[in-house]
Amino acid sequence: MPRVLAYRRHPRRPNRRLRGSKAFSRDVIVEEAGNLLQLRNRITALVVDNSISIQLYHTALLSRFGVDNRAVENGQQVVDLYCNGASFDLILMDNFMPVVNGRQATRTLRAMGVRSMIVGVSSVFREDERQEFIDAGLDDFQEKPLTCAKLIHILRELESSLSF
Amino acid sequence: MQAIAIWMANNTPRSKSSQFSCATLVSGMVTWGSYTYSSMEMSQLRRQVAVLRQSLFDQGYLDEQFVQLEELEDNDNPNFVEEVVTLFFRDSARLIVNIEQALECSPLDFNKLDNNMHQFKGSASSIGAKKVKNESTQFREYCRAENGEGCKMSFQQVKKEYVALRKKLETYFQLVRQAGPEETASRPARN
Repeated sequence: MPRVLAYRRHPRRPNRRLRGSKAFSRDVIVEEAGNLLQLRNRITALVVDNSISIQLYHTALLSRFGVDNRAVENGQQVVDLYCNGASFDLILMDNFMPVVNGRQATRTLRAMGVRSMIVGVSSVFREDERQEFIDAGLDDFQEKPLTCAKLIHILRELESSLSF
Repeated sequence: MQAIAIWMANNTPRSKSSQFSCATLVSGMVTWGSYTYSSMEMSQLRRQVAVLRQSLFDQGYLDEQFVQLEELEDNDNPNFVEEVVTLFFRDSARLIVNIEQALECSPLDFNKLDNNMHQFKGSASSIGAKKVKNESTQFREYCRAENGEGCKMSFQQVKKEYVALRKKLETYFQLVRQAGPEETASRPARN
């Protein structure tokens, strides 16, 4: 059993408790997206979700911000990608997936020494579900649905960590 | 007038469905696919779309998340919302079947029921399906309490809302397709 590295608190990123943002009116969404987030770096992201509709939505949202992205169906595929030498700045990880779920995949990736920013994106019912997922090694957690505002928050965090 | 018609035919953005790929303005009439509408009829259609859309929000079928999807629709992605919604109904059909089958087992595997509903709820909330999402939460409450009868009853509600939403959205998107894209017919006909 490989020794699991301490990663919950990333040395450069404080472990912030996440609050869901309230829904925005259409004008605010347009303004936020318009103001942008001008991304300084070329960012790559991986969407990990079993549902094709979610994959389509999350990848479109990422593309809107100019983030290079792709999607896979379950945790096993993420691990395989990394084993084959691929790497992404950001992983949007769902929890309940067949074969290998989000928690297991996150644990495996961290055990492999992966330092990518992993954000759990899942629907929540109980507080302990959320905490268990975070404990597996997430940098952050966002409750579904993923909105423009939530993604901006994630990308800003990522940008600030990459600029160190 | 002819010049405008030719310009329009050459510059109308082509949508995926070929029957709607030509629009010509001929003395105040708009030809959209195989139909010819007066510009008044087009704006009436567009009004109908707006009214129907608003009613879906007012009656609680959809919430703000649907607006997030609409935000991602543009010339490069002209049918984005319809695509995501269609995929949701296709994806989630499988989860519905899983849950139905699991509810027929004895004893009930509450973990399996909960996992399937968890995925279902995540996808439903991501398209803004408000009533469906609320019923799903109720179902998960019953799972957590290991209340089999409650689960079965609650699932009937989930299915009811799911089917109702699917029908409403089918009607809505049909109307949207009929009304056509905003840019084309918003140019007033000039004689």
